[in-house]
Amino acid sequence: MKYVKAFFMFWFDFLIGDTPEIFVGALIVLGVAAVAAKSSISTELLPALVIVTLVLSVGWAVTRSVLKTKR
Amino acid sequence: MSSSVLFLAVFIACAVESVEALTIVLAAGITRGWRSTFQGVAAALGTLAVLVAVLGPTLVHYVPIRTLRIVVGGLLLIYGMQWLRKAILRQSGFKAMHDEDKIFDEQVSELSKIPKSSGYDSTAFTVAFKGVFLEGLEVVIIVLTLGTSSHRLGLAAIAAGAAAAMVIAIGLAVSKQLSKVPENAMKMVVGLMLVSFGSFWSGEGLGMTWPGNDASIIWLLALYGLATALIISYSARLRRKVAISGSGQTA
Repeated sequence: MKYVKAFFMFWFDFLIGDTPEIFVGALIVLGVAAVAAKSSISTELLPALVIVTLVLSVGWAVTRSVLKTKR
Repeated sequence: MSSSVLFLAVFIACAVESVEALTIVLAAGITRGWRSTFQGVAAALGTLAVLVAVLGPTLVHYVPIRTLRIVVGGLLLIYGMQWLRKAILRQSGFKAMHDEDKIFDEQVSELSKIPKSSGYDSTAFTVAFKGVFLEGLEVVIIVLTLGTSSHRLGLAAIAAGAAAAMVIAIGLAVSKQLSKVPENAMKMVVGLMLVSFGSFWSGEGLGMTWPGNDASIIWLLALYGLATALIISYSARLRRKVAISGSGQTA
């Protein structure tokens, strides 16, 4: 039981950890890319969504840090 | 062309993790003795090699290539974005840089407090095993994901082995932790490569046709590199602004 728990904890930390927004963002990227896979804009859409996810994740961390400094 | 990018991605990723593992191993070896420390390192490396040897061929032979590429692409996207985010925050000053000297001092101080036993030292073994195994597990995931999706598992394993051997050789030659390694820059490069490969393979798995096929990994790298540079530039400017307004408030 200890090892099963450790196994799931490892994958939880690895995939989600302290950045759940990246995990959710990657799922959205894959979901949208799957729907738009056959369209002509799919190869531009996928990297654009990855960049948006990264910007939101960094922006979220920066905002938290700035608010903490101002307090 | 994508073979050399793949080799480079695994090599740099493994070098970064090896530097971190080396710090722990040196702290254990210097404070507790080398015999049990080396046994711990050997046991961890053996376990990691078995993992690659068993899981690699299993994934290649039993999982359909399209499914494998979607899953692996997704994993690489998540892992790559996590590395990139951390490297961006460190580069722009919002997160403290990884300090190998500080980590080494903390490890030495902690290990020195535990009484030594004569002969086999379970503390040295456990610390060395955990350090190498946990850092190595990240490398194993990168080797398996990059290696199996491109059907170049051997090349990925060789790149990882070469990087680990290089870091160990330098570490033993200078007998100290490698604090001068530009770890954040390396982490950023690996993050960019993982996100590029992740985008490419998840797209391929989903049925997309990338312009230029394999060569599109290069323009993906350039695009993500440009985006990363812009995010760092904006965040660093914001950091300076916050620091100035903070010092103005206190004055």
